[in-house]
Amino acid sequence: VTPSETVHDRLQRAFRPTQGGVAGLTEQLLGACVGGDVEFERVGDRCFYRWTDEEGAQEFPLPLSPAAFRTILARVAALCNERSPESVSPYGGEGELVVGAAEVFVRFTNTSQAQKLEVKSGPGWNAASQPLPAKEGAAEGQNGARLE
Amino acid sequence: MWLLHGTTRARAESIEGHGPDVRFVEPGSTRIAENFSFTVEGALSAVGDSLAYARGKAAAFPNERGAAVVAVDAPEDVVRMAAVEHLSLFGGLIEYDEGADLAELVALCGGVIQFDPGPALDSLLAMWRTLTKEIRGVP
Repeated sequence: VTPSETVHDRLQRAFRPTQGGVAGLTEQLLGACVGGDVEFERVGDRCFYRWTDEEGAQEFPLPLSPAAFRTILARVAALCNERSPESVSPYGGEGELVVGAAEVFVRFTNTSQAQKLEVKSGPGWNAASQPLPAKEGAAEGQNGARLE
Repeated sequence: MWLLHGTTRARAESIEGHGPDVRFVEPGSTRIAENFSFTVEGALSAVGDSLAYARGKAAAFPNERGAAVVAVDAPEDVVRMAAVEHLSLFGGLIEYDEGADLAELVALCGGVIQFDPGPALDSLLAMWRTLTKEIRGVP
């Protein structure tokens, strides 16, 4: 991460073609979030990403279709379970991931009703302060989200 | 090529009989499914396996008689069509060659074959009754 780069700069760079498929694209997006707190969310038939900086809340359209975004969310779930087996359901949960040399906290929902990803690794985030989710809670998804 | 879809036993029986329904609305939801995904048997999956999806569904819908996997032997040309259609939904962010080896396309998709409304799904549904299918239990 280059300190002078903003999250937006890094995400713009992440939105470049990869030969790494779904896994590679997911890695690019998560890597671009390192150092910031970013939310990705489907709203209607479009997806957006947002974060807050000194200029206030920022929001931009995500250049992915909702169907593609759901695949990215499925990959995030798999990454959580690779790090901590059975820690999340495919339909929602939270956990910590290693992205390059950094650790990030992710929370996601991936149901027909809602699709959202929060990535936290900004200055206010402390890996040691984030408890791993209880298995039972993760299996039911976050915020009471119904599983598909 | 065998494709696997993890779900509940009640839904598996419906899918086996009628084919994937992308307009399916789950109890308690207000939105249609929009698409239908399979993992590829024997291929590495970057998005988790069908058993995990089946267990998740069964846990969420305990009245649907437990977890099950729908397995269908789909023609490779239909799988290729679905893979290319799905990769096209990434807005150019995933590079791929439509003529590449099918295993390569499947790997780019993360080992998941997703059918969205379109030609691949239409083809799958048109031949569904003729395809070899089975419902597998989930340990």
